[in-house]
Amino acid sequence: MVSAGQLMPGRWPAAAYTCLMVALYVAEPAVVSLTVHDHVQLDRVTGTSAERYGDLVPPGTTPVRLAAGTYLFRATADAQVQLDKGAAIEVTAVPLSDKDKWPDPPPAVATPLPAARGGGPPDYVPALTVLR
Amino acid sequence: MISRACLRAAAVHIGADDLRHPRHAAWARPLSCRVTVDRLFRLCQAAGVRAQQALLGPDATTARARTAIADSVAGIGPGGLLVLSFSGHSERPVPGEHDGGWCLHDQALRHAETAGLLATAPASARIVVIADTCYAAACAATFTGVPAATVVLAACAENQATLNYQRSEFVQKLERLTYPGGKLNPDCASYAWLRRELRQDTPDVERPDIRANHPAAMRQRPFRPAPRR
Repeated sequence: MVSAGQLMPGRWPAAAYTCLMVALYVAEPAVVSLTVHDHVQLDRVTGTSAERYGDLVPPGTTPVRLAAGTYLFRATADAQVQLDKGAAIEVTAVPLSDKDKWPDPPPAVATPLPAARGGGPPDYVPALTVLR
Repeated sequence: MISRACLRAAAVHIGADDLRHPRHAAWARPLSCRVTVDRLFRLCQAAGVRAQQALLGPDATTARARTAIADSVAGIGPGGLLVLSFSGHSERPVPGEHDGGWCLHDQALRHAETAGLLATAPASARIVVIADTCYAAACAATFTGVPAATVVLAACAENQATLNYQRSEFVQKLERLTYPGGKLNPDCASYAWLRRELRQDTPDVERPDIRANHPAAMRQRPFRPAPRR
């Protein structure tokens, strides 16, 4: 098969499936600083649908203003979320597969979050660091 | 039932949102299948594809999918166009075991089997596979041996996942770029252009892709049969 005019090997490349999914539960408007290593899309989740929230977040540290609500982003590498002291925000890594377990109990008031449309968990889940 | 007369263009849309296989039934029900099938049906209609079949929910069995694909492949004739779309869950390829597959109502339809069905199409035909699922581009690797020019429009790479939302951003964008409002987008002159546009402004974790088994296929106008000689 070819991609953009380039010949590719006949078998799929053994690239790892690497993904970290992060949920932010924002109780009151706040600004968070996201530090990511790739281009990240922030979605605002409402029930079983989601709307893209703002432009793609570029690699580096970006302050993002969030209204109250539930937000989600996925990244291919480690991510850091810096919160202001006292910010009413809960941040957690979310399992991508139904077969995974939550690293911690999900927040009691959590909006239901989507799972992936595939059966397997990522080969590698990058780390999430939350700083207050 | 599809007439065996030369259809020139045909489409099979699979929306597998009712899974009974024990391994798949435990997963969250795919939410966007019906909307995706509706959109792609409309897109194909706008592209002039008259013979279309939709396999949804409990009708999306491997047996019915095999029959629908085989009948459509047999019907399009030399130079014809077949569009095959899938929306739902996928199994990821397991190197040394299998090449992955689409999770249908009863079990997974392995990509290798789909490739075998598509391989019976005349070499002069054109095939478009739209994979709106996780590990979407994985099927492309098994279509290398298909004689007909085969283009895979994938919602994400083979090592990426898509999320289970009610609407597929990928399919919405595909419709907008090719036949917005049912009208041909004159800018959409090749799969290479479509690939560039689909990938623009997408996150690294989920980036659509277009792959073809012949380099020349990337220059074809999307969703068009081969020119008559």
